[in-house]
Amino acid sequence: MALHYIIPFTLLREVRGFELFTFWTALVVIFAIITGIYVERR
Amino acid sequence: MQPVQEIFLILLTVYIILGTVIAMVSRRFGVKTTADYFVAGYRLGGFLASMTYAATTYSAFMMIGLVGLAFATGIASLGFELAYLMATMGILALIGPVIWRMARKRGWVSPSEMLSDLYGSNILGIVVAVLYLVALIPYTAAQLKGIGEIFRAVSTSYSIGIATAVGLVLLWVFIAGIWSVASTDAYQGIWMISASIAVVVWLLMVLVPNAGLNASGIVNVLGNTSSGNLLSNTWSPLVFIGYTVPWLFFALTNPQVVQRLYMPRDTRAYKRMLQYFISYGILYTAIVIVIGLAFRAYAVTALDKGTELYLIGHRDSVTPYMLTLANPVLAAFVFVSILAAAVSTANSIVLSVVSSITRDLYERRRSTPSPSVAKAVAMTSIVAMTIAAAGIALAKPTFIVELSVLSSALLLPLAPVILMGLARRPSRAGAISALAATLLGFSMILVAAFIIGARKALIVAWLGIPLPLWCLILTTAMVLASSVRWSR
Repeated sequence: MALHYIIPFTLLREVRGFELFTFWTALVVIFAIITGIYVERR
Repeated sequence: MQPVQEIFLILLTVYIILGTVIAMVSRRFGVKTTADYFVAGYRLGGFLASMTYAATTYSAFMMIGLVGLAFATGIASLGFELAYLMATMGILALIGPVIWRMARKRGWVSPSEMLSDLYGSNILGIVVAVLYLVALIPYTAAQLKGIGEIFRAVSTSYSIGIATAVGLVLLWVFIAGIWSVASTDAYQGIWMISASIAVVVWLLMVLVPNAGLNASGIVNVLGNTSSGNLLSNTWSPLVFIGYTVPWLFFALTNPQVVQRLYMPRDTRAYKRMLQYFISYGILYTAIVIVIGLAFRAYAVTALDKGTELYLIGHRDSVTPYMLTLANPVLAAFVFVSILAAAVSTANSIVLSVVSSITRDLYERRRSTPSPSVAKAVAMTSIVAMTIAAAGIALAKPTFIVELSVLSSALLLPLAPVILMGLARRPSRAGAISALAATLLGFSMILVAAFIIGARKALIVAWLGIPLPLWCLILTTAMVLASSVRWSR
């Protein structure tokens, strides 16, 4: 919830050129890579 | 008959024949026991497991519900759906392997049987099986509604769409249970993602450029719509939390996806299921949101104001309307893909709920259960649930997104109950507390939905906290309080 609402809508909203689409997509891709590696090594 | 109708009927016939052939062929895998029928004898390979997980998860909710939500409310709908995906990754990576291992060791077939076993309480299993039946009727109805909207868009009757959907669900479930569902899911999952890619390519390469818009033009238009800046925050914290909290625990509370965690044949198959599903989920979500936003930019630029406002107020009609502007072949291909998404989810839900009813209300209560009686119980439940969902779909009480999230909100109290059951070996007091928490949480959401409607039930707040979050807080507190008492 913090990553998806509080950070983008409170902390980052004033950042110049900030795009929610980019933020969320990058966040999920990074999370997916970490999850994939974690599961593979487990 | 219009070209799109003719092509739709041809493709629909091809889809039904192919699906039925696949379902018939899948019978050779052997369906001798309820474990074969409901969880494929724990023998699914990684690809089939991932595709059945994806096709069960992604439904008419995506190409109709979420496209409409992005069209009407903007980029926040991406945050809502990606929050689900991230939470699901976490659940599948950390909790899923525990469930997978225990399911094979203890021979679980249904998700309610899992709870019954974890808490050592038959009553808990029976109550949860009945709650699944009630809670998932709105979600099944959402799938049927999606199909009804498609049939209406191709100038056929909405109710014929519902009848076709019911017929397909019953046909493929009856043929070979989960083997036919999993096999047809793989075929339907490929059809769904291919169609969504075709739509986004057509939208961005043909329709939107025809309105004189390029990428920066889309961004500019979306920044100044009648609904505000759709690329920034258009959802209040209350709405975001109310909608997202039930969705975060979807992978843990919805029986049709929990049951899929039992099925991979080994750890390698489980890992592949997770990795393929994540890739599918990110791609499909991004495509669906881009379709919703790009078509809104097109609507602002090229459609009259009345049409745009109508679509905002009737967001389940956005995709069907958009496809009337496409080439009839593409439109028919996508219409059938949405039908595939809805059918694959509906039959998985029905099969999963029925497995709970059959196991917990009949088989586990008999020392020597009769296979023919078990089959009769299963078939009766399948027909009853499908007909109830069809009734709601015909009544059209609200949008697909709200119907879908409502089902997850009704099942939300199961999240702390399942987590606690897996983390510890609860005592008898723990089972009573789990039962009380489940019934309290379920009743809170159900009563609110009946009194103020599905949409408002998700966002009505007390002390600034939306009802689904209250449900989660209260049920977690009850389960935790009872846990503290066991450890003393």
